[in-house]
Amino acid sequence: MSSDEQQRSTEQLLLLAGYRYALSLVHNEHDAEDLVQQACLKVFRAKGCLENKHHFLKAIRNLFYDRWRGRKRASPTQLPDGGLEDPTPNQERTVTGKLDLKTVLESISHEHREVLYLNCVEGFSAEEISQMTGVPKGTVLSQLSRAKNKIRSRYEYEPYPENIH
Amino acid sequence: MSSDSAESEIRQYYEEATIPDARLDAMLDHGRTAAAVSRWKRVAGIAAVAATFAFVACGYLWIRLNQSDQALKLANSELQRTLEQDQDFVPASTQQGAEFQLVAVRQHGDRCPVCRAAGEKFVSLRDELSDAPIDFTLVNLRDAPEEAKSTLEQFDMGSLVDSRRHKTLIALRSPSGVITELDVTDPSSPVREQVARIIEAEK
Repeated sequence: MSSDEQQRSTEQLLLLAGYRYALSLVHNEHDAEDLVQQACLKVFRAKGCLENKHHFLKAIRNLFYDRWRGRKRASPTQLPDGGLEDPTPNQERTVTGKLDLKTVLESISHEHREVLYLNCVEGFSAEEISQMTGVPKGTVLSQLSRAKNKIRSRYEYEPYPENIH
Repeated sequence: MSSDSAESEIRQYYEEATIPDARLDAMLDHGRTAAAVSRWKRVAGIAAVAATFAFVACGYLWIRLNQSDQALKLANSELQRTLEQDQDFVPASTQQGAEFQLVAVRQHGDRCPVCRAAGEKFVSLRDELSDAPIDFTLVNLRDAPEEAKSTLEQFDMGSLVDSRRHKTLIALRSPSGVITELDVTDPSSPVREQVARIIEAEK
């Protein structure tokens, strides 16, 4: 494999990682793709190439917050919050046994999704996440704990009583 | 549900999320194009600044040259006017039969500052020494070289002028044929006094 091909494959992997990170922030495929493309253009214009993963993820995060702030000013209730009601009826829960993970992730806040992604998928420690996001380490740890608790609580369900028909 | 299984499901969920390779390639190509555009923009910006600077510098120099040219033309026209006005002037010495010859030789004409100064000096000397027994001759080497050469030969000054690199000078030739170059730059000894001394010594 030539150096050009190797660099291209590295950049593709970086783009994929960026896309997944963007997905954890916006939780929408189209928005995530859009965000990654804009961040890619921004980094290419500034640096001329995609090399640093931290730098690329930070560019995505900054773009997301710029856009999110703009949207928040325009319509403050557009983004999903952690307090969303579970729309799945009890019977469906009983049948499937658990909620769809996508729906569960949608119901938690983007801060929680972000730390979940960075910790569970990218494997960053709380210290690294703190340095990357600029959030104190203690806050990162508490966000991570809350996010995991929410995920667990959403998966846990009360079995439908067998004696009730 | 255990914590590990939740984490592995989250990992699996995100790892399944992907973009087609063609889309990734398109993104990278757009990025590279944007980087190239950005780079060329920077180059164009630098070139534009350099061109603007060069244009301003050239304009400034052109204005300065134009101004100095105008000043030179003005000075030359004044001198020319003075010379033309004085063409009819006949010094008293000429009428009486001059014994001395004051010759001003100009190498380049009015464009050269040294020649212009020599011309101005010649005119002022002609006014100042109108009562002295001196005949005045102005020789322009550039305007009429043949005529100038014959005039200089007539005063035995041809070899003197030819031997010099800078040929502009003002000299006084006595009736005995002695040629003395006058120093017009020495402020302690005005030309009028130099001429008076030469005339006195000749007597």
